[in-house]
Amino acid sequence: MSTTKNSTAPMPAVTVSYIPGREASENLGIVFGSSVRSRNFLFDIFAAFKNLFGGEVRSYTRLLDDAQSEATSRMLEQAKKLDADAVVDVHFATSQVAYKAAEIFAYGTAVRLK
Amino acid sequence: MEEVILPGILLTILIGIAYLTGRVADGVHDRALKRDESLLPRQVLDSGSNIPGDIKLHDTAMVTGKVVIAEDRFRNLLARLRIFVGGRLSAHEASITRAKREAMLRLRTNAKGASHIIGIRFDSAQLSRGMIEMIVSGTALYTDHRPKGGFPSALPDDGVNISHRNLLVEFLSASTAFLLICWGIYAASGLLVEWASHEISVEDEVAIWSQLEPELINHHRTADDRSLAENYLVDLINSIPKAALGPAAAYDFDVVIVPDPTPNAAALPGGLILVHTGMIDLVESENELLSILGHEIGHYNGRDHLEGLGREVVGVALSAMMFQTDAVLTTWIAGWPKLLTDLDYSRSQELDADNWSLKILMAKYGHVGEVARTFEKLGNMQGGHSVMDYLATHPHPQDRVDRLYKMARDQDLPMGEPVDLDEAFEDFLVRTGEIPESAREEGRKFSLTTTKD
Repeated sequence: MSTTKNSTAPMPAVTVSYIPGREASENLGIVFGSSVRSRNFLFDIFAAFKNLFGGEVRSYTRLLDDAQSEATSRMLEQAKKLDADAVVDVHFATSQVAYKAAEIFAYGTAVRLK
Repeated sequence: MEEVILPGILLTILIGIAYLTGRVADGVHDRALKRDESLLPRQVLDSGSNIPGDIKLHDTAMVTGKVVIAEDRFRNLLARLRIFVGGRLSAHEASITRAKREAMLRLRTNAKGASHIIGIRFDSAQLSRGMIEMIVSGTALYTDHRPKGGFPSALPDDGVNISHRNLLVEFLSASTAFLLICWGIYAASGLLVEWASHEISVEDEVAIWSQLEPELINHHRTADDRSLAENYLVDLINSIPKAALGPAAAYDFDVVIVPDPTPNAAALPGGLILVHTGMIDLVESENELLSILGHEIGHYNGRDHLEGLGREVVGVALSAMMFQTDAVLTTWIAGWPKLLTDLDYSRSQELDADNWSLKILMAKYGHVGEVARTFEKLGNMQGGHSVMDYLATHPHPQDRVDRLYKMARDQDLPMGEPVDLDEAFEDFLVRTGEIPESAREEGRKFSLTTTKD
């Protein structure tokens, strides 16, 4: 398929081991991206208050959101450097490197498609 | 002063060392990773669980790779600043990436003979703050298949996961933002505190303060609880015509003599005045002593003591927030003793208080003789850490001397002969029946009696 090398189209990243309808030809190895972010002290104070009453802490959800999308785009950037067509078997993991900061990392297998 | 400057210098040196050692550790690890990664055999790495069908499988095994990397204190501090300010923690990025590469390297070293490692999973644990733990696990497949070219011999370049920003620049920008925010909070709360401290009436203040910290200060001391010297000081304050005291007349003043060589005095909420023995040692006449007490009374009239307290509370709260101590309460309580001795006011507040000093001396003696005598002596004392302490929170003694004399000249206040302190104290003892009239003796030293009790 000649259309797959379109550079403007986002590289597919999936959590299963195949791109539906396509066949992988080559395994390029593990790629990963990580992001550590924090909100500022005002959000932290607000979140602490929220912890008293319960409910969704939207500012922290957004923090996770930002971190996750940065981690994913960094992972895809690595895959692009390997000249991959897709990233399969993507997993996300978190760690706590610092108090009140979120680290999210994404990793997967970069593959070239037939 | 010194207790602020000295730890500050030590801390800067330590953090500077941490920055250098951190850089060295970073570079050494980076080079080691590059070297070891290039030595690894080619392997198929897969985060999925595809067992390739077309190969002959000899053996499988579960393999892991683990690493714990500590960050240096500099990066730690930088991260804390960044967390306060918000944004990307670029201080952590390099070590996180190195941790992943190292864990991966160990996984692959543990599965050296394997051609495939499938089902690769990263995981992290938290052992301690400021440390990065990484565990990677997978299933090694030992096959007769040898991966050909096309596979990366190492993990792909990690450049994308690290924002290449100079850490010192990052530190500068984060700390500037942090200081600006702190200054903003402090200034805003200062306005609030100033407003509030003028709203609280003397009666409310006494009522509130007497509920607080009863084990720290006894608010209901009677003459029997005080030493003779303290009773004399309270008697001296009570002898001032009430009209000259201003709003402070509503206080039931108490004086505590603190055994501290620093020449200082402080006004605490509730009408409690602290006088250090170091201050009393400097004083030779009753006029000088009243000048000092009058100055503290001036602080009550300016409500400065509440303002200083409020600012201190804000300061403690800010530092607790910044350093994220689990026991905020501990920090809070630890701040109290400091608060009792470190009530510092702005210079303009000091000068206003000096005005009250003049007014009170005029009311009591009809002249302002010796009003600035103690400050003259302070100005003549060279060096010594206790004098430095005093200078940090007060206008320079010579400036005050000049200003006090100028104010006295401008208002045409007369300068008279001072009352000798030791004689005045003896008068007080005779008047209160502590010693009989006949027991008057030469050289009864007031300053000695303060340390005896």
